[in-house]
Amino acid sequence: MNGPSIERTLYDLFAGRATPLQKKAVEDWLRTDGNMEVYYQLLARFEADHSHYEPNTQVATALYEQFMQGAPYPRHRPAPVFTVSQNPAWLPPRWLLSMAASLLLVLGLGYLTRGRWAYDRYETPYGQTKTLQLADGSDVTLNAHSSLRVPRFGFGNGDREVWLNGEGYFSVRHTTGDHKFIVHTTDLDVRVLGTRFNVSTRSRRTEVVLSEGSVQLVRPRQPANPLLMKPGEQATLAEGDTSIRRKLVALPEEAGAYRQSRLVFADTPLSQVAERIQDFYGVRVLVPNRDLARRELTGTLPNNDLNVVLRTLSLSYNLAVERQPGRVILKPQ
Amino acid sequence: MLDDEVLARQLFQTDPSAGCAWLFRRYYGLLCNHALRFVYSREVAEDIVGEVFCAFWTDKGYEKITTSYRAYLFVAVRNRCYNYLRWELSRKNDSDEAMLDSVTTAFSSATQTPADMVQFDELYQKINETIADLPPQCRRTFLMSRFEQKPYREIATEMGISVKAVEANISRALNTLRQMLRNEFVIALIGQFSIYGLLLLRMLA
Repeated sequence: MNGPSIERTLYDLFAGRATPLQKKAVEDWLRTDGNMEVYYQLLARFEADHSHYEPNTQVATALYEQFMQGAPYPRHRPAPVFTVSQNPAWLPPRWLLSMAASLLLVLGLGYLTRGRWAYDRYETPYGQTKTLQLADGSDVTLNAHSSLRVPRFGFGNGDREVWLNGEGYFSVRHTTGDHKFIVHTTDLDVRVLGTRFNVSTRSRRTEVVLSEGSVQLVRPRQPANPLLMKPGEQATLAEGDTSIRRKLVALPEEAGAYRQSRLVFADTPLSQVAERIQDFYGVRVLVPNRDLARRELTGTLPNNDLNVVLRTLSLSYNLAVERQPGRVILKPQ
Repeated sequence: MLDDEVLARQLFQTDPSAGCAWLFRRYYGLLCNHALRFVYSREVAEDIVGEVFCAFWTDKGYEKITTSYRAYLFVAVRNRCYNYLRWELSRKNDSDEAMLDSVTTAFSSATQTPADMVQFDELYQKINETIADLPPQCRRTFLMSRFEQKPYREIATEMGISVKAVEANISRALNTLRQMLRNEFVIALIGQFSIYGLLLLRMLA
């Protein structure tokens, strides 16, 4: 841009008439050395040509000269309660500030959405189990219709934490650093060092059966009061319960029987057997007859196929099985 | 025009107070007019220019400048105008303060980038457009009060409306301006966010 043309463009800009194209042109032109000075030179001339009013420079200059002698310079209005540093220390350039702000924004978003990307989620459908090995060498078998959330990038150098929905059998490897392994469920945290145990959070009830070693049960709402479990114990926390119920079970390993595709019952009421089948296959299993629901079953069923399970159940325990779409009804023969 | 600078420099070499006084006499009117385009009140404009010159003397700003005296004074006045607008805005709504901080820092340094300079001129354009878009009576009241420095009573008599109506018109005009400025700042921020955000995402991906 040459002299007269830039002068016109700048005047348009100062007068608030510049088009976006002109603004861009001025911005580019300003990048050339020395043009910034020309800009302020023309700005001064523009203000002289377009003055709105004539302030009393005479009086103001006299006041300013007195100010330089030590007198206060009078103001029209009280100064805003707001300090402007006259000689600011080094301020980061604008692009760096924006960059930093954006970085913070991205990191912040990343942090807020960490539940989405920082964890792997393993899920099993109805009717299937899955065995997986975690980063620390511990093994987990997920029962059907269960999910486990584990840190995607390993456990790091602290407690090993996983989140369980449904049911899982854990065989936790002891680490050299004695890192705790914590299984979080909705109502209960299971803390262990190295051990084997089953955790089930089904039907509004959380149940832990310990096969080996020792675990601590912690209720997130009462973290100061952990419960130490011994091998062979079963601990149950039902919805609405105030305390954890404990009992000894004869065959604690059988709580993880689904690992060998078996359903194992030991004096288990039929209503709970029905729940277990329901949890595994995702069909509703109803026992309308109350006496029948209370009947206790003991035994082992192969657990590969719903039809086989129901047939075996019917034959072994003398039940009538009525299949309806989406549900199964167990009745006395 | 360069002669001004040469003369000023010679004055500062012999007697800084003579240099300051000379610059004051030379630029006070121009700078007040310039400030008035942003802050819309003669009193505020004159206070701002006065502050700039006082600080120029007290902090010996004339010893540190790397540009011309003229450029230094205009930049200083513009920065103070901008900060004043920000202050006036934050009085109305404290929650904007934090958000505005990051924008304002760009306008407190002694030099400006080409983008800053043009953005300032754009700000003036936006203020003008906002005032032009006000309803006629509201606009006239606002301009009479801010530009001609007439008291409310005088404006009321001249326009044949009540003093209350004058007050209402002025506060409406100020609110519209505040809203515009707030949107300006927000848009400037969002613009920066999205551009650098996208760049970052690209780098990360």
